Amino acid sequence: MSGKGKHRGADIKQEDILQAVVIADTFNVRFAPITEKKPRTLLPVVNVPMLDYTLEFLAAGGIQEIFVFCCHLADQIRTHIRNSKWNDSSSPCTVTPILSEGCLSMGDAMREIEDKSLIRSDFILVYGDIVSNLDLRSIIQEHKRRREKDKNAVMTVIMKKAPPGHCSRCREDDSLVAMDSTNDRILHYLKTGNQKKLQIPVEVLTDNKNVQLRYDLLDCQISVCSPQVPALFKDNFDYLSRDDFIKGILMNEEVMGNTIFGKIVRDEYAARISNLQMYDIISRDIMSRWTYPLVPDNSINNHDNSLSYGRHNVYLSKDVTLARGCILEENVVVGSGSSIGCNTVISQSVIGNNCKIGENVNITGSYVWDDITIEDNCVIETSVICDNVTVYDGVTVNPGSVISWDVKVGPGVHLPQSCMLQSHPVDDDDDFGDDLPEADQGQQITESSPDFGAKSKAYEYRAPCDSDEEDEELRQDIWGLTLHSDDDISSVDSHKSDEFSDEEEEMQDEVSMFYTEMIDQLRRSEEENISNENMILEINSLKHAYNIAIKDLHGMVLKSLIDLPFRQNTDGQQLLVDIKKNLTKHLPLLKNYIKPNSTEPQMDGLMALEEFSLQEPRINTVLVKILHMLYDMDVLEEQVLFRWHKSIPQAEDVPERERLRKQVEPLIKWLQEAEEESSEDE
Amino acid sequence: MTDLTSKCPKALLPVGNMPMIWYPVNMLERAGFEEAIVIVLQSTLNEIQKTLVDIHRVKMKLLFEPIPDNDLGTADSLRNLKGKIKTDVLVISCDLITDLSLHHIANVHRTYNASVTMLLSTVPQQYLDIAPPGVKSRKRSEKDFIGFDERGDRVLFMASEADLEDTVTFRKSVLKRHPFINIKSGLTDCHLYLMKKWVIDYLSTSQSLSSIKSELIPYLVKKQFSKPKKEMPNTNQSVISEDTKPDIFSFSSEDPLAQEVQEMSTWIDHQGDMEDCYHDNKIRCYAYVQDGGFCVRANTLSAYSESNKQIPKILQNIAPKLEITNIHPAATVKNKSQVGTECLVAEGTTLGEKSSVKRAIVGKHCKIGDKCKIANSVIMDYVNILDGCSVTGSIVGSNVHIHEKCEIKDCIVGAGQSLNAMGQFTNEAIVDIDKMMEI
Repeated sequence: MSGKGKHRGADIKQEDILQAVVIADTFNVRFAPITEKKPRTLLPVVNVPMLDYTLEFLAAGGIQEIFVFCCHLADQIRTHIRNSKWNDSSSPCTVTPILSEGCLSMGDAMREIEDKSLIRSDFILVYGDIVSNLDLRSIIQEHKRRREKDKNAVMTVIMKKAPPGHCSRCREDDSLVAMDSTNDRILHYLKTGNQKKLQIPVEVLTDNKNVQLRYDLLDCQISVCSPQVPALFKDNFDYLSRDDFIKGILMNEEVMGNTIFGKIVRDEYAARISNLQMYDIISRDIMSRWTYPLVPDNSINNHDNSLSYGRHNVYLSKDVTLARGCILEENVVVGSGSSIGCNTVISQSVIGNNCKIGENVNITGSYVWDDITIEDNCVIETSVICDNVTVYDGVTVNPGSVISWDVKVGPGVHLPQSCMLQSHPVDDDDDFGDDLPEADQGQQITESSPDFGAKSKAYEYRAPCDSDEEDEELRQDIWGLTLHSDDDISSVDSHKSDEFSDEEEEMQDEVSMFYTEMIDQLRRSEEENISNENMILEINSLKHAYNIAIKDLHGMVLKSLIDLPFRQNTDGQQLLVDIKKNLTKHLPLLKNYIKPNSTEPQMDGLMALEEFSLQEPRINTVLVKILHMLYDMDVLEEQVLFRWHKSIPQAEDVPERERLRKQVEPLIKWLQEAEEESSEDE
Repeated sequence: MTDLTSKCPKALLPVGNMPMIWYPVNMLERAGFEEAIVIVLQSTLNEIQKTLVDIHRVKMKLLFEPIPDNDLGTADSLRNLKGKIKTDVLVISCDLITDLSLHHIANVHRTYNASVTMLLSTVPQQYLDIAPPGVKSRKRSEKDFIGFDERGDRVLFMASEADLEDTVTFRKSVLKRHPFINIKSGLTDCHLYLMKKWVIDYLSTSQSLSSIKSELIPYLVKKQFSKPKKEMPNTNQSVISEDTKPDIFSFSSEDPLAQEVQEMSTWIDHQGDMEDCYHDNKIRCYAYVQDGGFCVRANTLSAYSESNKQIPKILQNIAPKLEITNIHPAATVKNKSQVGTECLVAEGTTLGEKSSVKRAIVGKHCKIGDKCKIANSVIMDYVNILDGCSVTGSIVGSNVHIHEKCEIKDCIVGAGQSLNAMGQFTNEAIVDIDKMMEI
């Protein structure tokens, strides 16, 4: 077959040549700051560039012509391919780099491919970061057979079965797929993101007799495409990614008639190194040989420094120096020319070429690339350390850290968790002007190394704020840490509360006057039996008179309703009963301002209550009850309560505010448990 | 089916010359049940009792439980029985005609220690396609969507087409535990449920559920994934209103012994996480899907007429003791008349000369004249069909007189009607006018 591939010419039918398009860029910054110097696809995974795994996988699948589409730092990729075994005369396939610096998405790449009309038949479309040992041939055959029957079957998406909780599932690619179980046609494709409830159009169920909803699939972004795919990308210039493409095709299925099929693989390995987490997981899988034959001792690239394979998945190069008393526990790869000092313990880690690791060093779950010096007594956990880094004596690197090219750290410092270091100051031009949460960007530049040790040359890297909200949401999985999505929301909230308190200060006088006026008004209503409708009118006119922001109004209405019975000097039980009575009586009034299904007014009300209970210890003690009461009256929704509870207090009296939240904890917990219930009972 | 049931209770409509209710009772008997409670309307109690016990000599012990004639749902009737049900119970509808043996369902029920197990069947396309006799009406499609797990036993989702809105919502937490849901829409619910006793107990406290199929079962299916409500902590003060309605989970207590067995067993119903068997779901709904055999709910006109046509083939399997022959020995078929193989002709019926009966059921003591043609039809008891008539694709009620040379095609002829000679009817429901008004 290799002969065929090389001497392909006019005598071989076009259909016989299998083509593949490798997108050697992912158009995001998941690997920043590492990718500033080297394109993502050339980053070493177990000492072999990612791209080589992908090319090996394609070549093993009988692909004869591979186009590698390079964007970011394209030159490096081109050089890499030129110097690789794929450029050899013995290579089973031709690998052609396509350089396009201006390309910003997979869609752009596909449109360019269409312009150059490179595609002649069915082809494979992958990213350049796939590690897989799938048998492509049978899948391609299946796709072709299907195409013979149905010209409109434009794509076969390969998915791997991975039930929730499977280690190679990352949150980012979490998806729900609806398939027709009779013919594997994909009916609906949904990225779940952070949604708790997933909605499927009813037509999916009504139009098909036998629908499978699969949440146990990992989309490994390998797709077998028909030749018309690039043209479809060109026709629909809004398709940016393959997900857009799938979504668009499925949406226009009735009009265009194009269909997408799924192929589910069970036993073989396929995964994308889409972020640092996946980098970690896949590296481990390679070391523990799930990806056979793509394992460290089967030299993947043509370097002759083959590794020997020992017990406990320890792979050693021939010219490794291991000092006495050093322990390589399990899943360890040590590259050529590296030396490891006395009493050093390494487990679950990859050590690159020409590294010097000192004595009494402890390295766990970390990826140490080439030409690195780690001095004595260092502890490195679950981190990535790039080329030419020097870690001086006694440095502790905590989980989730990334130490980028040429950084020097130490001696004797502790790096915080998930700390990203780079060797040059942050470029101001890099972050385009989205409002960054902390404005200490400027400080960072001037901030010199002392933080990271006396001999250090390191600057902290901060990810530029992505304007794409969806993207931002998905970034939450920071490697080495398990953060929850809700944290994002809470940080947003705290800003709002900031604004709130600022405004309040400005208009303190007017507000307090308005408030006393309103309390009086309420009291009068009590005496004179004024109806709620009239009260609303009164309050509205007061609002205009004192020029009160609607935001404050929400809070004050709620506060006054609770304040009024409180002022009548009752105690304990009686107070609660009075509050309840008062609230029930003025419920229409309250609901006029704090409408159900509108979060902001409810939030305002909660904030006001918080302030109020800080001032009045007696309210403080019954706050939980009041909140529960308001919840029962449908004034407050649980979602708002959750949000409030999670928001981190920003203004003064932080400890008190935190104590308050703690106090409300039982209610929140109860609501969270009840939430599942209620959502079902609907 | 009101055209047919105006004179004769539905349970006694003949299918293959047997009253409909005989089929489920017979099935129970075959499966070895010794006792059954038959819920009947007060007004039809005597008639049904007489038919089952005296005429068809059902040997098992039947307790007849009359319910008032006003509109009571299935669940309501079951609620009335609360005191009489001592153990797990099988609920079955009178119109289920199947050759399935019950142990399949019982197996599923026992394997998973299910709360409810139901019988579903794949409907052969033919039942949906046949035009029912009588007045043509727009067909209402009542598709049910039922979601199964990977093994195809557990019911994870249930909704009927009418209830669905633009989108169907699935909760992620459910999907996490059950990442594979296979939703099928071509299945019919056969109204056969095997229930734990606590379900009946629960039913007796929740008055709002009135129908088993459309309310109780979907409710149980939904409730599978929710956790028991926790009591709100520190409720020593009276402000918080107490939930007075008892939670469904307080009923679904499991036998401690069975629980122990489950804990000690290594068997687990799912893969991929370290959770306990069944994810600690106390309520579990399962289903057995009947495929291939004969399983019809004769609850629509088309299903009724189709089951009549199919019944001669399976009657032998269901009731081998009955020694059913196509033409009852006490029936007389005169010269040159033909009776097809897929026919049943009951006792006391006389068939005139040169008549032909094809794919039809003819009831007792009918008189069919000469040169008649009867095809694809159901003729109930004591029907007189005079010479030269042609009856195709119709259902003819009992005591009907059809005079000479009538042509009846795809009609329903109500009980006791008399059709004049030479009449021609197509796609009509011929019933009493006042009855029609009543409907």
